[in-house]
Amino acid sequence: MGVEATAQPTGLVRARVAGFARRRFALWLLLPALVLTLGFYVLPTVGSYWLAFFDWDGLGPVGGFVGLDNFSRLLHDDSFLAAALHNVWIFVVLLVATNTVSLGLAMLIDRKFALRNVYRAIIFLPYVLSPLAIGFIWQVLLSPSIGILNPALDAVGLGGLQREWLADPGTALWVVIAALAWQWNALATVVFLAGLQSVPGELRDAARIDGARPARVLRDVTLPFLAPAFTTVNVLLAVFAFRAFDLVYVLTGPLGAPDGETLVMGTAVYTTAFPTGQFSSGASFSYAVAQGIFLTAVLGLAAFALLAFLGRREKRVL
Amino acid sequence: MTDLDERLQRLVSRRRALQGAGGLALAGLAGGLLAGCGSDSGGDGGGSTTIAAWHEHPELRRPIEELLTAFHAAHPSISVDMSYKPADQYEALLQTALVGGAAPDALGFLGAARFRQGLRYATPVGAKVDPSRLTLVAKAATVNDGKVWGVPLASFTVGLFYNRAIFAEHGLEPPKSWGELMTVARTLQDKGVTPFSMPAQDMIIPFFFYMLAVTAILGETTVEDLATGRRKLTEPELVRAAQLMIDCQPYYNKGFAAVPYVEGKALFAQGRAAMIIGGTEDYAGYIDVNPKADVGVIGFPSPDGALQSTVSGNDIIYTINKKSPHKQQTAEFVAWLASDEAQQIVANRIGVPVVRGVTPTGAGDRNRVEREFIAAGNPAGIVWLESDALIGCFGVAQRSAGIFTGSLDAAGFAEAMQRAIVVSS
Amino acid sequence: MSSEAARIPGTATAARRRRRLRAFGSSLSGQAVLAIACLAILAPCWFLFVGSFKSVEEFFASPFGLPASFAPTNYRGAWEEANIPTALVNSVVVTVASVLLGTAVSCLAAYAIARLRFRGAALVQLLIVSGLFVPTQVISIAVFIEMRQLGLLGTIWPLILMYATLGIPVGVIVLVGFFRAIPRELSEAAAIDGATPWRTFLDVILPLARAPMMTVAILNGVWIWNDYYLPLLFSTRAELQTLPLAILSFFGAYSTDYGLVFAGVVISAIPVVLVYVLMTRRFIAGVTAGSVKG
Repeated sequence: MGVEATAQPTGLVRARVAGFARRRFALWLLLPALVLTLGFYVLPTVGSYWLAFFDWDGLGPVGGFVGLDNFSRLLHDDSFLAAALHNVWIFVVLLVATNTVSLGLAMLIDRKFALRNVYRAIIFLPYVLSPLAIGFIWQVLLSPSIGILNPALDAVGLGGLQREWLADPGTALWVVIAALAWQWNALATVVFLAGLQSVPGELRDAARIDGARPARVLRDVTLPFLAPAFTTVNVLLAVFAFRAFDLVYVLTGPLGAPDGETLVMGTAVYTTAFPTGQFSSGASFSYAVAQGIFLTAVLGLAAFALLAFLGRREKRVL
Repeated sequence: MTDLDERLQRLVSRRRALQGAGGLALAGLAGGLLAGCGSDSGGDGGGSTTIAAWHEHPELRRPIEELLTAFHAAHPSISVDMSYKPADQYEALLQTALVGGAAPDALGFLGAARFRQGLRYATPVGAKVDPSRLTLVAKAATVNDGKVWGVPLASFTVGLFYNRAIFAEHGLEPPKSWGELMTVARTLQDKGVTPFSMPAQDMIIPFFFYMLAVTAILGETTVEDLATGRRKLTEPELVRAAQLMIDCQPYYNKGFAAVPYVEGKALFAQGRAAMIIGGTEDYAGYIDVNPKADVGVIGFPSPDGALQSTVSGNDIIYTINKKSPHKQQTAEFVAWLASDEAQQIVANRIGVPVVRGVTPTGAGDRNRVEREFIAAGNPAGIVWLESDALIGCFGVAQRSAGIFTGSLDAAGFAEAMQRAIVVSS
Repeated sequence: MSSEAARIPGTATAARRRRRLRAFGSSLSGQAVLAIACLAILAPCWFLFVGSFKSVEEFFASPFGLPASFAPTNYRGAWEEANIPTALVNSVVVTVASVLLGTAVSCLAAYAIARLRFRGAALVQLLIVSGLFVPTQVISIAVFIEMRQLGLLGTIWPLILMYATLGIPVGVIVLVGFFRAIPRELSEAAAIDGATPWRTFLDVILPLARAPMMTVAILNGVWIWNDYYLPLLFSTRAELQTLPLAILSFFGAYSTDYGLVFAGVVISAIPVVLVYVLMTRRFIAGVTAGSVKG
């Protein structure tokens, strides 16, 4: 009796002590990440983003408070809004392509066969090579004067498909998306592959021995283990699609030729913040920051939508 | 888990931890070894000073090193540490460094207008440089209220390059008037030769086309006329300049709207296009692609053929960083750039000299081309990027690619340009 | 007996034979698809490789044909002109240090967020992940000023610290997902055995995280290796240049030596591909070893 009477309060106390210890432990674990994040991400970001509400030409002293002027200017800026739309297109196409093609490729490579390591290395190359050089190669490939895509189409009898790929407003954006997809696919496939490799072989074998058809094995055994990979790939996909810059800049230039058809928010922000031909003037830098905030907002929205959707599926499945 | 597995796991995690620690230690060591003084200004070492400067033409490394060696020979106690930045990012980097308070001792600004924007960070070179020795285009940029604030490394001139071999083959003479220009273009087109290389991806060449056409109409006083509002780009006579760009469109290379500058130059150098707008500093690029390129240069034609125009501007203009701890030595360097010795190297290897009386010595095609530029410069206009009033036009040109897709007509283009001009009387 | 069984559809033997046939067929078509995909993927890379053996003149004359010779002139040129040995060392130091720091830090944070119940875990995760949403160009000036205030300009630390920070969001996304999936019984068992929370983390949970940590390393390592913008800002001195800057130095304002550019890019790609292949091979060995013990 007496033992039981004292056991309960001790249990509660121990639980609470454990709670404190756990929270303190958590704090220690979080400390390095928080220090770096607050010091080198939050601080410079806040330190830059407040400029959007002021008037700054990027070189001299900061001007006066302008409130939401830069943002209302943004909402009337047709070329920037068009750029945002281009990013959305990139996002949508990559979303579909990644979750079908990249996943499929990863599953193909996942099977055991001799040349597997060779394929793994090859698949990864587009992501490894510097976008500066790759963009240039793509651009020359597509050139109507010295490229080989048009001559190649002609050679196989598809001459009718020849186009001025990067100059034709109808095809320019799609070509850029193709180049981006080509680069992104490398990364997505690799991540899916890593995820597939985390599926315990015995479970798959067991399911197969039980007579399950491959599609069933896929759905009930493999996919659940891929859930974290799906989350990673799709969130990074959103980041890649909305922050696209290097490859697009090299492929179609700072202005998103032709006539802004391939402009994306990344290049728009960069050329607004650092225009060639002059230092930022006429409050350009502040406007660029406002554009940056818009980019962040849109990307955040897309990422959270994805996380919410995938998170729910993840929980249902696990 | 078996014992062996457990031990293996612990070994792996410990190895990772060690690797982590080792990596950080290595990085720290390397960082310590690589650490130096804070900002980008040079250093002092036993009587010899090093000053830092930037340049945006990595491809000119060798000629510039030659220049710096000559400077060091003339001033043994000063050496210049030149850093080559990629042209596309140069201004972003300079702006960041200026705002961040870590800019080099010798500040280099691209063109007169940017130079003037940056003057608040500079001190004048002063009496070391005699303004009367500077060429007109250099003086216009660097002399402010009587004081000389800096020295351009070189100037450049832009005109119309043409392929001599192609012209000779088809019995054509370089055009002097717009009528002749169209005739030449049509003839070449009929014979299967692309008349113009017009790489418009970044709208720089079209902008130069427009400037040359307007200068061909207004003459030497172009910049002054437009800056004071005496003439407007929207006048019918001047709208014709924009219209010419549209009229020539059938004669541009295929897909030109998305062709980058480098490809456009390559097409011309290989003889796949007969003409291109180009400057004194483009010639080396043509030869890189085709060492046997046979090209010449003329001024841009005018409507009636009375004159042909070129436009000139300043390359990078060096001045002294107000916050530099080595202002004295930097002033020596900047002043030396205006010396005959320095400018002779510039004339032979880099561009158009900024002091009078220096001409490229030596034979060779490069010098021939430069002499043709000098001969073609009548009227010699000024690149609008050099003028405070007109510098905004370039930004507008960048947003006006619609002139080639039809969404912008000549009048609209001229209107947009005119709106960017800051008129002052 | 077995032959009769095989003739009756629906029996295990028949099913097995059908499965084997299907497996064979699909593996053939699978191989074909893979081969075609690899060709499409490889084409631009191949042209880049081939281009690295051409001079500028040769490249524009014949951008996609085989080079006149496979002499490594451009490689030698790139190696010397851009001081690639130094750049290589710097790139290795920066990338390795950043990846190690970033991965270690994200691992700790992800574990705390995923498995330790404390208030505000979701908020912290949100804060960290939001780091991916900010375009670097806009905050570059602020970062530059901050580094100057800290007196770090002219050293290698701005790069390492920035890259590590920029790598944390990815690390957290990957590792939180992974840590959440580990059954609670594992850590509870360790706790019952008397292990401290730290020991539980280090000896029980962490060893399982090899695979996702490698994924994080790859995800961050490759873009850090190729990034040119931050080094452009901070590695102003020649001794601090990284490989992307070395390659960038071949891009002129008026003329570019593409042969050198391509050679530089190939030189830059080799270490990454090697590390990737080696890492994933080791990783597979680890996983299959694990699955055998059952």
